[in-house]
Amino acid sequence: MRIKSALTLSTFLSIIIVLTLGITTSAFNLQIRKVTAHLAMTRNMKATIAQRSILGVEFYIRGENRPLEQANLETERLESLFEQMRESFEEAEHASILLEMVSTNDSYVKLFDQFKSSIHAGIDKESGGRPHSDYEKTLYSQIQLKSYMLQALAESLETWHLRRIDSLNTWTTMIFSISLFILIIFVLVNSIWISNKLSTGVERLRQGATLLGGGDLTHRLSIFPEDEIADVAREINMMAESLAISFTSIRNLEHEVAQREQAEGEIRSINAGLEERIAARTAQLESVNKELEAFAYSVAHDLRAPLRSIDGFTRILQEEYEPVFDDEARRLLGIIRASSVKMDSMIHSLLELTRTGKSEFSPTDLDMRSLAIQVFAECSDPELVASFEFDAGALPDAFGDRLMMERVWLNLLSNAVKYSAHSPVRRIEVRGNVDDGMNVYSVRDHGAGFDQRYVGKLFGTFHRLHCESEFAGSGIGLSIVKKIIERHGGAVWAEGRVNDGATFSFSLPRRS
Amino acid sequence: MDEHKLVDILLVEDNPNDAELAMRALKKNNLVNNLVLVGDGETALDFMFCRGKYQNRDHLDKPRLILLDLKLPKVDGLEVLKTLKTHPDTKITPIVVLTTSREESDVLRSYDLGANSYIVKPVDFDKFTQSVRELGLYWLLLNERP
Repeated sequence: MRIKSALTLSTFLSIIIVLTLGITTSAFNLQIRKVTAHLAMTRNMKATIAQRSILGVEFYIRGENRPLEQANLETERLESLFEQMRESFEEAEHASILLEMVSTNDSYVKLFDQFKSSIHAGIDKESGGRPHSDYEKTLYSQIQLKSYMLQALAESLETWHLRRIDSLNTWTTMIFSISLFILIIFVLVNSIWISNKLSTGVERLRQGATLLGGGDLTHRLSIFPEDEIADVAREINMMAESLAISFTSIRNLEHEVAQREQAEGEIRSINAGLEERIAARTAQLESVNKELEAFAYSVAHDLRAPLRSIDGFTRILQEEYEPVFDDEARRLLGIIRASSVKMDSMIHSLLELTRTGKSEFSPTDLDMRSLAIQVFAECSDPELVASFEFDAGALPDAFGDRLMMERVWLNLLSNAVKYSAHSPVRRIEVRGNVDDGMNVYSVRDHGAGFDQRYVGKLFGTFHRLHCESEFAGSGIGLSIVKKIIERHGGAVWAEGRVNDGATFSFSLPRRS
Repeated sequence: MDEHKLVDILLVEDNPNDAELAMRALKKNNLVNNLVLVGDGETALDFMFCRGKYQNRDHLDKPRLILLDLKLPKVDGLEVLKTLKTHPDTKITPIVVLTTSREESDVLRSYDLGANSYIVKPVDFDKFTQSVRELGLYWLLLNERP
């Protein structure tokens, strides 16, 4: 049974008991009141009977009419009392006494009437008091007897009523006590039962919750008996179930995290191995690079010494033995000198190209516009440079190695000057813009240009698109530019048309 | 009478061709009055500190200018430079370094060790002559004998 229903039922039962008690008590009270009224009536009868008896004596002695009339009045009252009582007859005993009283009274009245007639007859014969005849005396004694009988009956009726009241009182007390007792017992039993039910239920919940709290998520609380505690138990069970599900998913997650960590650890160790190998390879490459540098250095020094001698002594020949040579000899000496200078410039360029790949690399913020203007002023023969119109637009600042960037501008601008030297338009434009996170710079000239089909060869080492007699050069400048820009993480490209100028562009990543 | 013994220029150069060219360049500029040529670093140091075959040299007779090639047998040019520039007797003598190329590390290292200037030995003899004239004149005039 549900606790709420039990409580409702117990309240309901208590109310019924209390109501029954009330109704019973008031019914008994009513009865008692009625009996009490009858008792009062009985006592009234008793008093009336006594009064009438006294009046009867008075009449017997004096023979006057006044007591007679009064006695008659008393009789009338007595009869009306009988009538009243008869209307509410209930008990057989009570009724029989009353009936006996009525009949006794009737006998009394009859006897009294005979007595009265006899007395009145006597008075008619002789005036004044006279002694009573024997008949009258007998009559009177019978009247007295009847009066005593009535008295006795009234008394017995009174006693009966008193007893009745007593018994009613006893009953009332008894019923009241019993009902109260039942009520108390009921309430006690009921509260003990409910509290017991509650405490066992709560204890069951506590135990279950302790088990669940202890981590045993498979434990389920009993849902019997079906009551509110069972509802709570059901909720707790559902909670435990969802907790178990969450717990399982957390476990899985932890497992997964552990697996990932393990995998990461493996990757790290692999990476470490890789890094070691890279370090070893880098060390190898560095040593090879060093050897190359040493080689380049010795090339620069050792190859140049004989070259210097060739040039220097040819020069001395030219100067000191000038008259001895004819024109052809002088021309040949000129070729020797030009060749040695050319070879020197090639060695120089090669050295520069190797230097570009060296590790010293210190990027800073560079004002590219002023750098371009400064480099342009020194990029070639001052007279030639002065004959050019140099148009430098707004250039974004770059982040790069100053010396390398100077080299880039020098190569591009001196090329522009060199290849424009024979053309009517002597104008060089430098432009810059920002495009997709890169700074883009370009140098445009209006010189000899090139065939776009051979653009791929422009940036190759010793590749040239013009012959030596037309434009002098080592064929290394642009490959140096390419190397520098690529070291900076940028790109170089060119567009050109034969005899219609060329545009060389390069991009550099913006400083992040 | 000691006049001719005074040394104006000490040329330290191992390559005889380069030495001859250098001397010719100096001669063209009328700078080769009193020139001593030594072929390696050790001899250069012997000359400066008057030891070995130069032990009878006058200690006070210091050259007004040293032209020092960096690539030398025995004692390397940079070492000669370092020794001379750290010694109290010789550190005031101007030293012009002769290099084969504009190899930056050499130039920087030379300046670091106290070189007063440097001349790149270009393949073009005319340019060389010009450089020698400019630098030689400058340093010889600056370090005029009292």
